[in-house]
Amino acid sequence: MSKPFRDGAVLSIILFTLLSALCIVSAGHDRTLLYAKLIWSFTVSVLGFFIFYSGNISRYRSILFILIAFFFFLEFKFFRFISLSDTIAPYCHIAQAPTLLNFIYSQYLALVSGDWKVWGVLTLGFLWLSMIFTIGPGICSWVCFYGGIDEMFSKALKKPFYKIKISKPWRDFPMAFLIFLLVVSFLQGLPFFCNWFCPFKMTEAFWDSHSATRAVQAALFWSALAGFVIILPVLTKKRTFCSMVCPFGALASVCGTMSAYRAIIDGAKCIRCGRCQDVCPVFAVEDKDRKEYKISNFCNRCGTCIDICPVSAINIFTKHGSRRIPTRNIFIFMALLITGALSGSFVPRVLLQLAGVR
Amino acid sequence: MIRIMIEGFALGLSAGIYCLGACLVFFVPYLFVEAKEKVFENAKRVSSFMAGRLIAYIAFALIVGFAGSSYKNIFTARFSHISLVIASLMMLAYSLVHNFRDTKFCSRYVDRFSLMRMPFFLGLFTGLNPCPPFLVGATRLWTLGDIIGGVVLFAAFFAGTSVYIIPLVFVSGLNKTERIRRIGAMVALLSSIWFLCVGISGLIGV
Repeated sequence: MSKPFRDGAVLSIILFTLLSALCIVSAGHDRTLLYAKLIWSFTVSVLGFFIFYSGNISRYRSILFILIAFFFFLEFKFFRFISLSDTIAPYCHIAQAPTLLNFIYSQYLALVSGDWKVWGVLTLGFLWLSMIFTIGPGICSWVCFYGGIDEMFSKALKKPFYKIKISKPWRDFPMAFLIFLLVVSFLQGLPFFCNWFCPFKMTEAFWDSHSATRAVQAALFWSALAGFVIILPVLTKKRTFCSMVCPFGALASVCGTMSAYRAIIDGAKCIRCGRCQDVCPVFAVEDKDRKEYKISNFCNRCGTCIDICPVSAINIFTKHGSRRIPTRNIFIFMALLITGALSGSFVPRVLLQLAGVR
Repeated sequence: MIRIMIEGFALGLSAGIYCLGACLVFFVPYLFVEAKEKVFENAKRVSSFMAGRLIAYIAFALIVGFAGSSYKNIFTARFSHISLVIASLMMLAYSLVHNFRDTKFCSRYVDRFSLMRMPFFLGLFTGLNPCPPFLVGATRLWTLGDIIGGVVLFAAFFAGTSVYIIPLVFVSGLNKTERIRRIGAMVALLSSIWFLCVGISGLIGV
């Protein structure tokens, strides 16, 4: 038995065991739901096994990532068209980033007023923050249930129709957008991003009652959806919404610096072929100087550059003083565990509904 | 008169927190771009901004006092939205020049914009924008019916709101790198576009 096979088998069995324990706790006495949850946990673990065994992160991660986005949209966004019932609106993490100041203020009010019900609901925000601290911006390529949509479109063509390159200063645009949204959302006491820019909203809650304002909202909504989520990813093979617009991505890149896991290029091994920069879907590989590349804190740990590198110069490490400890498998395990746990809260329900059991 | 002074100060102090959002959305990104390491240099910019606001407030109190309450709507609604549009356009031009400073066209104007009395004019026009503190002050002004009283009210109101602006002299600590300056210029660009839309929609009554 080869080492990758043995390691992959052990890690995926541990992953399945942990996810199963979570399934038993969360399903309660509902046996049907428990079986659906176990099937989904098994799927996640099998895909995890293929990642560990083959060493190819991006292919199997991508399958899982797109599947989650597909089920998510089926459950929460397209329920009107395919009449899935019994949906519970999730806590949108993208909305959390630009309303972080409002969120902190609500937490403060909940604390001082002793309103623990409000506190309980909003604590989900802290859950997301703790996930960012754990796997960093990896959340954007593993856990995010919106990211799979532009990833899916970015996989549509084999080669990019148009090669796009963003200058280093403009790569920071989402950061500026986040600061602007934080201030305006706090001023207005409203989710400003959701009201005006979010291309994923399919609820009427954000539409203004005034027809002219609603027309502007609709124009922004459709242009963001068509431009950043569909057309640009198809043409450029880049995740343009995630890298050029998403305020959560900007927040994750800042908070994610606390995460222990980093994708790092080994300068000694690197032959400067530039493939990592070409394939990075989020423009995270920067020119350090003319000869060297550097992975910025916008890196989503999607594994595309690791897989493409012809000399295996890129890997995931944890820095300990001056030492670099390779922690690739630990990171993947953590990412799969969080992804499995979170997607396990809605994918099994969709599976049951699609199978006609519910 | 002392009662009016205390009233104006208290009004400014209580509503002034909103200045952080209304005026400072313009001014803080500007400081991100232009702030210097020395606190004194920043103090000059902040003072210039505050001087602009003070003159705007006093001028507003005087004009309202002479014009009388029959022009109430023109001054509080139209005037403040025009002021917001001017402030937004100024900031838009400034941020465009700074964001595209590498282009031949904009590089010509970067220094000119830095030399301009930008903080003063920003203070002048943002001071009159339709933000909650200003509207609260203006509402009280209409009920006074006294020119000198109005000027005192707005001068004290200015002092009250300034409490929230003075700490900005220490903002220099934030812009240590070129990257932060760039981000500041982008925030200025976004803010100016947004407030330009708010000003225009206020003017056309949407």
